[in-house]
Amino acid sequence: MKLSDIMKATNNFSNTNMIGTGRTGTVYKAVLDDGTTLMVKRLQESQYTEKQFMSEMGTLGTVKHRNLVPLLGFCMAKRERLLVYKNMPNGILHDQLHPADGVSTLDWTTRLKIAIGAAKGLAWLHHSCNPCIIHRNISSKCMLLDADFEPKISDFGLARLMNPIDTHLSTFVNGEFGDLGYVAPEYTRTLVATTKGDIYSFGTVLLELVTGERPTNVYKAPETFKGNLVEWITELTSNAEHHDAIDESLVSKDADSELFQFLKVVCNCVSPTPKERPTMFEVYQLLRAIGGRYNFTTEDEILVPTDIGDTDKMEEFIVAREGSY
Amino acid sequence: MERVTSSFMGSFFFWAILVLDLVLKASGNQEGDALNALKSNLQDPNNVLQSWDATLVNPCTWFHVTCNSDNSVTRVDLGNADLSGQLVSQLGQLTNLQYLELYSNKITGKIPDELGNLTNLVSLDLYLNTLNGPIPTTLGKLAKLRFLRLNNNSLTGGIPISLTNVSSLQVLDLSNNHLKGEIPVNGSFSLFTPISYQNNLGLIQPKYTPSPVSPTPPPASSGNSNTGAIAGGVAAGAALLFAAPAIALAYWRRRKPQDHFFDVPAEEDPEVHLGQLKRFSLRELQVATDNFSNKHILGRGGFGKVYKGRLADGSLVAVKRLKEERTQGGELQFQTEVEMISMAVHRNLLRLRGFCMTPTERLLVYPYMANGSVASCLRERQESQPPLGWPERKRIALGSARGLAYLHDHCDPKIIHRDVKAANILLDEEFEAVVGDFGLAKLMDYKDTHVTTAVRGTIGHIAPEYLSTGKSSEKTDVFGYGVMLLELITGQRAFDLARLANDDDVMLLDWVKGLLKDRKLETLVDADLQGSYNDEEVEQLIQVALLCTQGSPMERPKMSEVVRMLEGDGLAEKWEQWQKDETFRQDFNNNIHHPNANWIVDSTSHIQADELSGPR
Repeated sequence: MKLSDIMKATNNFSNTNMIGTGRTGTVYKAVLDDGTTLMVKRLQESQYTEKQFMSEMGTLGTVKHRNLVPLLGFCMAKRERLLVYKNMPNGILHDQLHPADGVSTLDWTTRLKIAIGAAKGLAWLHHSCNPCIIHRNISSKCMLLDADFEPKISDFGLARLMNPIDTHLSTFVNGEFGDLGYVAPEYTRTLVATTKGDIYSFGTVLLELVTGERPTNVYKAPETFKGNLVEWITELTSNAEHHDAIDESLVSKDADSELFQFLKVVCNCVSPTPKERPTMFEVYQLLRAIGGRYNFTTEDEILVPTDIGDTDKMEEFIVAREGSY
Repeated sequence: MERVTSSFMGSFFFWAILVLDLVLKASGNQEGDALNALKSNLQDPNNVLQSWDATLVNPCTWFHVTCNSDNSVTRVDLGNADLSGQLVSQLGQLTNLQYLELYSNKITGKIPDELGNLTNLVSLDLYLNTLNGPIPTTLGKLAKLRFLRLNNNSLTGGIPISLTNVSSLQVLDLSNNHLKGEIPVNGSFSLFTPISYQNNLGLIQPKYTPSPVSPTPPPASSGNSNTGAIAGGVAAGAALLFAAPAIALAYWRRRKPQDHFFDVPAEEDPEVHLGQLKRFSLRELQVATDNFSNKHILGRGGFGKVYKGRLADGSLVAVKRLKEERTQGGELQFQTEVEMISMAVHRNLLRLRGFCMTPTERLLVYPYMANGSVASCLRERQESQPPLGWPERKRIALGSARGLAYLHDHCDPKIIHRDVKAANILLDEEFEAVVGDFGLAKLMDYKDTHVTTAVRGTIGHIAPEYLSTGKSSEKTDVFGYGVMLLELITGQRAFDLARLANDDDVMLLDWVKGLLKDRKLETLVDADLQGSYNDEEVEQLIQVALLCTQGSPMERPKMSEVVRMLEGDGLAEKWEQWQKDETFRQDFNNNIHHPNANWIVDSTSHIQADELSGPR
């Protein structure tokens, strides 16, 4: 697409067309002349050359899965880098969970469906996609919802497109870590991206789904509590008070058992020790079992789990360039 | 005859002494009395006015009061002091006052008309209070006023026409009040935009607003309406004349959005000083840095690139060009923050000399630091340059601690640095530590129209509570300082140290603890020191680093306590307590798997009078 077409379709990147803003850039609604609606992500300033960007787009364009957002095209013009996606009528999961008026309309069945679909997409990135991709920026802001509330993961593979960390001059980060509250604690020490870091981040999203709380600020916690959502759930678990964490609107006789099992999966995902966290494939299997009676999946692709414990295999993951460390 | 002369001289001398004494006493008493009247009318829960002692000859030794060499009050700095009560008319007697800073308090009542007598006033900052009543028309007599910020109060009535006579006025903020009536557009008011008036539902913007580039028309004489009409016509014509090229320029810039930087016309502002701060034109800084040539880059940080420059007067400067952000606006906030940063003056803080602001550029001008940063001295020095010796490193540790303590305890409002590391500690000609890059995080916040949720900071220096909750406090800076001490001792970046420790499959701080316990200091100490260091002193500095980097913010010392420890007071006791707590912590962690998430961030402690070192 041409830049001028996108400018026109987004009303010159008008604030009224803005859908959301995140670490990697700002997302706008775009309406073409023929009435087609798209989503355009305007990436933050990138230092990559056009050639590098084209190469990355070529790679990402081949990554296709039902639970990954379809990348329809991209646009380069001088310093602008734009990605064009199919429109997602139900917007961003974060906005659905934390609406401005404070009351989410997502029921438990829908939330469970979202959790399973997202886990499936991420499991595919980790285990089945070739090369395997560590997302590195999982949050409720990178999950889009289509008309049927099927989740579509975005921003995968974008870590490489962001400003590389210049090992010579500075190790200052301006968002490359991901969002506050979602970053695995071990990541800040070594900056070695692992699949276990993604598990932690996804666990935080699962916590948002089941508690209705934001990752950095727990509304229901006592005023003296100064930690984040993960720390809150850890404290409740150690006091055997899990039930207090669950979003009240979800509690019912039917769902109680599922909610409890869901919380157990979540607590494993956000374990402070990476080795104790399950793989994404395991997370997907566990969540699917919890939602077994709902028949969410119309087709059940067979995932072949790769043994990610092998150090040699790790080098195949797409992470920041070698020279970035 | 001799006796008569002697008697006369003695009498005269006595009389002269009496007169002089009366004059001196009256002058000192008057300003002190005025300020004491203010003190009596205010409630002061934090005792910031405790030192205001009426028995002293003059108020020049009082905290938050600044005088000139004639012992006349020139500044009153009481912003963000939690004061409530009302202002007093006696403030009008401080005739040499230049800065009246009472922002961010809970002051009620009216603005006294007598403030119009302060003809030397440069800045009147009463914003973020609960003042009511009208804006006094007498403020129009303040011929030197440059900053008038009355926003976020409950002021009523109209904007006095007399304010348009204040030709020196540059910053005006009357937003978030209950004002009504028509907004003046003549005189100095032709410069101001709706930003200055927003959230006053009763205010009416006149139908025809001259372009901001319109020159100031002469005031119409009251007796001749015909002359006024002609003047109005001339002003309108001039507005059109100036608007046309502006419109053409805007059209041209839209056709070439990618070239926005070089299309910005160089400003030819007259030289303007905001107190100690100078506002530079873009042209001046382009010339100084050879058009921001890559040859002149001193470094790049989280907030932008820094260029070496030479001003027209020959002085060397460092020009920080803040990263371009796509969102426009925020000029008022930027200028306010810049002014706040410039008021942080201390031996160990990098002094802001000036700034430049255009629609697309934000630049800060600092003095050039001859010896660069601690990071460059540790890791990037040239062959001919000797490494930093141990005595220099000790002095750097103490100097940077003093600078940070000043930011936390003596700046009003307090400044949290948010990126404490060796790269942000600069060194002057004498290798004295100078803390740079403070206040910039908040400066950049204004450009973010959405809540920032992205992690910002330097790897290794990020405190755990910031990572999990996004909340910064002075204890976040203490953590960064502790890691900076490790940089100073080892010569290496925290990031590289962390990977070294990770090879041993252990966290960095636990790794340091282990080496200290096993007394293997030589593993930690920079090889460049070649053994020229004092074992005991190294051990002490490592202890301070570990105290500063405890996981719980509450347990970390304040920077003022760090200064005392580095000066030799109290470290042994704190370290002993730390070791006891560490033993307990290890037992606790072995028995229970879950970490304690209850941190209490100590960011609300109020300043005790005896901790103040004096006015800024």
